[in-house]
Amino acid sequence: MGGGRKPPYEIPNESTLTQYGERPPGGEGFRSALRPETGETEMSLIIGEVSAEQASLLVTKMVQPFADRRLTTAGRLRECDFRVVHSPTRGNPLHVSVFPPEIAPDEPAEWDRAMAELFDQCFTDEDKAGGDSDG
Amino acid sequence: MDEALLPVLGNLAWAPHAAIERVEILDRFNGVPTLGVLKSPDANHLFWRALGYVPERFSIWIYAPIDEHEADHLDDCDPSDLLRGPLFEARRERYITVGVAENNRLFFEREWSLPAGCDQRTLRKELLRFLLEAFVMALEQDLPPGRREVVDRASRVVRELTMSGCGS
Repeated sequence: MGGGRKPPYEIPNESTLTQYGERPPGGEGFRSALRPETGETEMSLIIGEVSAEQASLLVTKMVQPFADRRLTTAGRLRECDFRVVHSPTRGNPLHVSVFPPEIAPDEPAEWDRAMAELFDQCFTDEDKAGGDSDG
Repeated sequence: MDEALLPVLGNLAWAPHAAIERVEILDRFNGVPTLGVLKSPDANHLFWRALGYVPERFSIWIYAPIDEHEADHLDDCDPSDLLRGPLFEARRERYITVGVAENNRLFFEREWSLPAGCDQRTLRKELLRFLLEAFVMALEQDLPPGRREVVDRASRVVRELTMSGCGS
């Protein structure tokens, strides 16, 4: 085991979180909903405020020319009942998993259009999320 | 040990072959494995989603054979250096496999000789150039209509990426 692996920790509500996006011609920009049919199970974010280039390196391991980013806080997502968990990977120690609210124990709600809109609303249009940049 | 992987078309990109005994996931995005090691009795292969994380439904994957030294590197290095050696700034030319997936299921694969010493930018540029040529050659062949349609759509996406700065 190497590479400075650290255990997961409880993310404070005031923590800024970054979502990685890509804006090639005709591209969607940011994901606001899961695609379960393709194997997606969680929404990936990054602890802290990082630049689009840094986010690109953390997520894709390469600087992508169309990289973009947007910001939120853990508290803002939790206010909307999303579950926010630090889930470091070998390639991205700052990896955060966002899961949909549970409608019953171990039963996540469907990530439908309304939830996608709610998720989008958690992100700022400004370039600041208003939280701590503790990445 | 140094043989390129032959993915089965239709399989998920991170489970491209039935002979794989174990998949070690090194990273994931939205729950989908994006980087890892495919372990089988005869060889280990690094897999990596090189392009296509967010837009469209196409993604481009690379499968590279790795030796024991490179496997140790993956275990011990800084996270930012995971691909340095096996893919970026490789010391020697090597045969790798490029796979293209729609909704994470592979529909196209070709073996590619990755030049030694490629940095990230050069690798992306050469990868897109190689894929464009491979798509053109495939479309010149007698493909079934369904396969032709998806290869044609993918070639347009790759061409657009190339033209708009991703391939320079």
